[in-house]
Amino acid sequence: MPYGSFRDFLTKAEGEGQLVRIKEKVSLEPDIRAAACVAAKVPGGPILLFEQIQGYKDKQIAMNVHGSWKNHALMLDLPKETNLKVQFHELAERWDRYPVPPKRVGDAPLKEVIIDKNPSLFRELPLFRVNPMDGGFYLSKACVVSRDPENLENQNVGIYRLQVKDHDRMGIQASAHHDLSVHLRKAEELNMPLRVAIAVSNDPVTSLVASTPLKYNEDEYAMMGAIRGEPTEVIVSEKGNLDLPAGAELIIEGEIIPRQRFVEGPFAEYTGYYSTSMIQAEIKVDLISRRRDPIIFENLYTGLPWSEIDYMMALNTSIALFKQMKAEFPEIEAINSMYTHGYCTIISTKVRFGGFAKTLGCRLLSTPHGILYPKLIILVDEDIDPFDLQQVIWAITVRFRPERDLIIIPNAPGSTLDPAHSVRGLTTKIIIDATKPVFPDIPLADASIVEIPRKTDVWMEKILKIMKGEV
Amino acid sequence: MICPRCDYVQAYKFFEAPTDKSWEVYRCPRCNFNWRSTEEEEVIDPKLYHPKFKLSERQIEAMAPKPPIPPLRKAQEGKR
Repeated sequence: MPYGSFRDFLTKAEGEGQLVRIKEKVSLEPDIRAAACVAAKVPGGPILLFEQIQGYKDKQIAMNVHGSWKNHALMLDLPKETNLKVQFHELAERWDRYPVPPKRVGDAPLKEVIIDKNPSLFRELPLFRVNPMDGGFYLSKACVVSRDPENLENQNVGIYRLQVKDHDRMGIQASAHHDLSVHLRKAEELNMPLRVAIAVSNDPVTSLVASTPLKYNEDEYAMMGAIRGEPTEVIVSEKGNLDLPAGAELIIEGEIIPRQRFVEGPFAEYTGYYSTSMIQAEIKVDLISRRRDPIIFENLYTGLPWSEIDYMMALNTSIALFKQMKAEFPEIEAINSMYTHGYCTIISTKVRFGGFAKTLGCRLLSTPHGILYPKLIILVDEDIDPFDLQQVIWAITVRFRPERDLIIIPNAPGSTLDPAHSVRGLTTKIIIDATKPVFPDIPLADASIVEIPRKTDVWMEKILKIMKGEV
Repeated sequence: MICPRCDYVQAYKFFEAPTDKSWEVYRCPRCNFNWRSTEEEEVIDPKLYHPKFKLSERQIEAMAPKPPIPPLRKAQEGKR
């Protein structure tokens, strides 16, 4: 059964031993960040639920909801031990159910309390500084909903970092290549504010899809339905006709002020480095709706990888690239784009002819995500599991010939958050073709690969039984 | 109140802990920095704030907009 709300998922996780309740009173800084940093590194990577926050009554904080493969498997309603490649192919299969349109409902707990006079983000949420040199208190996992001002059918749900600056003001980072920026550009060309609604504390599939690089015309809610296996329930916003995920804890409504930018940042990003301060867009908040207290505020810790963000933006990014490329090249077996939001991407493929893998490496760079992020692209044969780095490195060591198989692309577009740039927004990309050369390429000098001995499967079963004491 | 990050002198308190007033939150209207009175000294003391993260007025004035602000559309655009 898919989860209808954030709370439903917490209940499931607790039943599976994946939720730790912290009952002692904690400080907003530095307790939450320190505990959340550790949560993704302790065995099992449990969710943390802080029940008592210094200075607030009736506010709680949840961290590390996506922060382990176990939590990720539970999100997909799979057994928590499900391995990564199986999760990848399960997600790939569900992706093909798209579109499963959302279902509008008339009422939801997030409408229990409506504050439309002097809303205060600080009063309603236990905000905290995620990392010490962040420029303020951030919502790092909230889902922002907006519509294309010229084509109201086009609605976007995405996660963008939000810096809460005042009771009713928040900065928003909208990079030029993001869908939200397309909406904002059109509104600003017309000198109109852009209406937005921000959903805080969502069921995990909502956040997963909101952080997936879908195409501009693809509907995130219809993809959530595909992944969940049934329509996602949405409820209309108080202003602006935006669809809100009905299972959220709290909704912030407001508008992006047109044609003005304000100091924002820095913020510790998925790279494990702080971004710089820039002037960015700002939202004027005019309404907050929410469940009755206690509100559970879900936020994301971003720090030295691996942290929760690395788990959340892992398989969804990989699947998006896989589907976009496999449509043209059915030889592709799997894509692993999990490292630093895809800065390193590994493609496993059958090879149609000599040089074929290099073509795939170049094609990756013209997918919506591939335009910017990947800068270390590794191609391996179909016998290599791209999620198993031992196998990938083995393939590079024995199949990669640098003088023939290395492509370097200088001055290519890159993420502005990449600390290794020479000019911000430009990078050098490399493609490493570690597939076996096939005709008309020159074959490997000694191509007699060792085969796995027969009956290994029989012996695997025997040994496991002995270990479990069944024999 | 002095902003720990940009040293602007007109920063001000705008919120305090709802239940027990155990902390206060401050805001700088120039660089949009916020801080809580109970945070580490390196975050809230202007003298101890990391020099690499300090912001001057000149740096703020030189910041590039993200995303860029597009030109306004003309009323008659496309109707020549």
